[in-house]
Amino acid sequence: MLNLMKTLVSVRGISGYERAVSDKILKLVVPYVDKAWNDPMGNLIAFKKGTAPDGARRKIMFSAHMDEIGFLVTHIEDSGFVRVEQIGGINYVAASYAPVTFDSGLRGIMVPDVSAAPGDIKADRVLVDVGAKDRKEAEKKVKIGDFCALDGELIRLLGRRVAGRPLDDRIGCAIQIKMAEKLKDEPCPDDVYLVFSVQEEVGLRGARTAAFGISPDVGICFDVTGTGDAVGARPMACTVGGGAAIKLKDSSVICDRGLADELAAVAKEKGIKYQFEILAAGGTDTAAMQAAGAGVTAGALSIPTRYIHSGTEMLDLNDAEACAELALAWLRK
Amino acid sequence: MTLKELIVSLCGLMTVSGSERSATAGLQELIGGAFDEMRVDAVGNHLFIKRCGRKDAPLILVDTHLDEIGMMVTGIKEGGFLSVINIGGVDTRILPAGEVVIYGKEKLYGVVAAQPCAGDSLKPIHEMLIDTGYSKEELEELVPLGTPVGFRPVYDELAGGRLAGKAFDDKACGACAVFGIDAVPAHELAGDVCFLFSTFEETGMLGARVAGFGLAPDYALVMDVTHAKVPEAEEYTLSPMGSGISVCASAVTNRRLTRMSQEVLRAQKIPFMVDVCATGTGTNANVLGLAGEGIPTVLWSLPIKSMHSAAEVLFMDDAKALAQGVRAFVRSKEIAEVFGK
Amino acid sequence: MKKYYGLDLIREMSCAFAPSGCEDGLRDFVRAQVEDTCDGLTEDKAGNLLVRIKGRGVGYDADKPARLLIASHMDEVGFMIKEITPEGYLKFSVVGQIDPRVLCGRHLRIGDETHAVKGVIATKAIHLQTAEERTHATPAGKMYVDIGAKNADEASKLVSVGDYAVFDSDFVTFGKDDRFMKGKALNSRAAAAALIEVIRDLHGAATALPFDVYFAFTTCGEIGIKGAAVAANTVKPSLCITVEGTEANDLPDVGASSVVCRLGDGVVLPLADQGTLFDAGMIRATVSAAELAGAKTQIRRGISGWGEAAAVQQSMAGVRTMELALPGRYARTASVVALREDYVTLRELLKNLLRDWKF
Repeated sequence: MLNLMKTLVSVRGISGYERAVSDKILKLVVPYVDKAWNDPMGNLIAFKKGTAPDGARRKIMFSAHMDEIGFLVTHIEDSGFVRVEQIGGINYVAASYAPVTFDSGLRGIMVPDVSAAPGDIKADRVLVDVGAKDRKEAEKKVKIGDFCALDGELIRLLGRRVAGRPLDDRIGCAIQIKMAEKLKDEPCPDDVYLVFSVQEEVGLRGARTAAFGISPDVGICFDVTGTGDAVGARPMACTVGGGAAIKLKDSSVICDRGLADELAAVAKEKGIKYQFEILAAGGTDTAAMQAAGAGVTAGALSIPTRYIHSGTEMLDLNDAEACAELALAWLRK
Repeated sequence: MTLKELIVSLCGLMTVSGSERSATAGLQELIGGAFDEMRVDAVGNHLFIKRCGRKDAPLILVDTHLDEIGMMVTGIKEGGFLSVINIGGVDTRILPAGEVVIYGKEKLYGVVAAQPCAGDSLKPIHEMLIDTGYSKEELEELVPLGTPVGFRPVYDELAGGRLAGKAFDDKACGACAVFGIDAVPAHELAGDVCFLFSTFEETGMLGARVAGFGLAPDYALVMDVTHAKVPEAEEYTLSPMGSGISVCASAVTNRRLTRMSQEVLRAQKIPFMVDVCATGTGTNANVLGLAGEGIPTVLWSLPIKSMHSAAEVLFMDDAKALAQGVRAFVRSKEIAEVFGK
Repeated sequence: MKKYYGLDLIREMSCAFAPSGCEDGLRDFVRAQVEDTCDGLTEDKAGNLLVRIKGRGVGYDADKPARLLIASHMDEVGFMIKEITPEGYLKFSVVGQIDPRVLCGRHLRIGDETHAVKGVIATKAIHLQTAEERTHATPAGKMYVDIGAKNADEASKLVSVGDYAVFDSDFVTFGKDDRFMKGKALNSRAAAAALIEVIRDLHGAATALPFDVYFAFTTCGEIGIKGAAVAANTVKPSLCITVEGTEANDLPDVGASSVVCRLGDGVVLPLADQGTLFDAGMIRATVSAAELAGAKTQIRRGISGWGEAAAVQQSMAGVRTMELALPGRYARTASVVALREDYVTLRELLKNLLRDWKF
């Protein structure tokens, strides 16, 4: 999973511009599934037919989003500094002084207005320094409407923990690729749709249309979740290394309790490490699936992650593998 | 069963958003008999259908939401205390020293801790604690994370036919709907009636949206509570209690259906007033009108006080008017002629 | 009147309508509970009920008996209706110290001990609140009670200005094995209930005391007027034990160093409160007697609060005074929480002290 993640964080996919990620994933997943295609929104959907007879197969949709937060160039100052607008919610303090890369390959650094106190570092007081002497020089390499994002990277920490970005939600993509690999030789009774969704960070837009199109019986999302174990974190009974996090609630959704209990029962039976998650702030594709069409039984398996939406996110690969293992075990139940 | 008894029985069920299924058996027992069919959909909407017996009859949707605000257990603390998060807009001002029921593996009683502290600020809900009288270890066994917590159902009859208690929002309207529909013999119905006890209204009106899409009714009557006039909120347009049904005039509801529904009420001499929610109603009417291929929708409201507290107050006369209104609405051939297929 | 014991007695006492200045009903109840099991009953002009148990023991001086006063206040915090608004709502003053944070949405009984109507303290719906209102308590002066009346006329038929109100809170046992109790005015009423049970025990006890014991059920303890001072002047005791409720703050979000007492750790012995330094000799003797009897006691850490004891201690030429208290969480709210076994400990400790007098 480590190498897979290294591959996945190396491509960039700011919301609305996920094509590079989609192409990369398509290559990785295509050998394992019956069919894979991009829908009109750009969602990548990989389909694996179930073994049960026609009419007895449920449609199970999994969703992990390909997009990441980034910035859109809105203005170039006379001084050569580049003004940007955020795409998706970012923690500006955490992003300050971090390197960024533009579409053109141009590098820069996110810098705050140096007079701003840390508490005042907001959108209007952060710029990108691309090293330009003046506006003219900058305009040769960057134009209004270009995108940039904090650099993707992955480093290994102690044990099986890794840090870098964007782990949100390439880790979910990695889980689904791993699942596809496992399903190739050992399919499950139900039809499985692995959706690599777009535009999650700007409002769960991809998963909504994908879910409408697929009209699944059950939808399960893989995404990162916050934890209560970062220093100073708001108390939350969810920890990095605590296993697959079965979501009960986040600010966008209250999950189907029956499904959550079912997942927990499977985890217990198979000895897969799990925990329950109640996230106070943050939304996921789960909500989009639940609200699709005439309603979908929806839940999520989350990967506990510290420092989400900063320049460096951190998680434990064991938790991610537990998510994949649990989803597969549940499918085969 | 009287309307008041039905209100108390329905509102007394625990239906915190996301836990509506735990009320299925109770609903079946209380109101199932008034309908021909009942089913629960993928998100927990409870649908009750009463057929008129004619083929190709219009489908009339009557929606009230089943869910109520409440809390969810997020942690277990030393000494037998629980921490919680709100589900929907819980008024934190009513929590300290309030009584709750914890719907874990067993039903437990709890008191929201009210520890005196300096100043006049209120703790945010996630810092409040619920005192259970069990040890941490026992709670870990009895109360899984995510367990719903509801206000203790205590109903008091006040003077002048007022009733105080929890969750009149919105099951009191549900009781009125059932009463109204049950009062009409099947063959007198203007169409097949689907009574929808919808889910997740308090957390984003999800239930009505997906049910509206799935059912595609010809037209819909949404009923929810509204704020009754109170002295400390003079700046809002509010319906005085005792005015009967509060019929909502809004850009998001269907103008013609709204007007016709008023004519129906007038003809039956059912008291009502018009309440203005110009561009948004804060109810399922917001989403039902736009569900699927669109559903002509009218919104009727029941004025209550202290909404989202454990001591909401309603006026039985208003509730009776609402029940009579539903009876007239589902019988109305005029409306069915215009809005039916 | 029916006699109540143990938990039933606590239930009846907790549910009684008796805010400060309105103790008559509760006093009649207490009188009925003890009148057959005492040697004398008087009511003084301050409304206190004084119950005498005569000494019979060796050394009892029938002409000039020594006297021990054991006092517990009957009253509870509550409300007084000060205005009926044109819309038929009731504005109120608070009787006693109640944190305004515990008022919104509470059910009340309004009237007096014989007749009361129900009402609720209204709360402006969360949808209509400003951000400031959502995070700060509404002052009690801005709150009002809804009794269901549609205007002042209708309200005036049911309630008068000057009527009292109390929390309408039933008595509940809960928690593991129903060890916990919840009710209004719970721990101070349970303390008074303990006195009733001690009177009954003492009256029939074989071990006779060498002095008279006066049990005082006093008025206005919650508002600082302290009927207990009058009781002390009447009884003229040489020793006094006040029996009270005291606030426990054993919550996980209170630092261990700030916890003053805990449920389950037994009878609370305060060394001092804001008005009194309690008699060290009596406390020492009580602690050793408790140890001998295997009764749990805890010394209260912290000196907050202000009970009846100060008034008694400083009455006449001074009275040696100590306090025994029953710990309860969320004092002066509709939902005070106390532990049944702490009640039993208090009752048995009192019995023990009196049967085997050491002071």
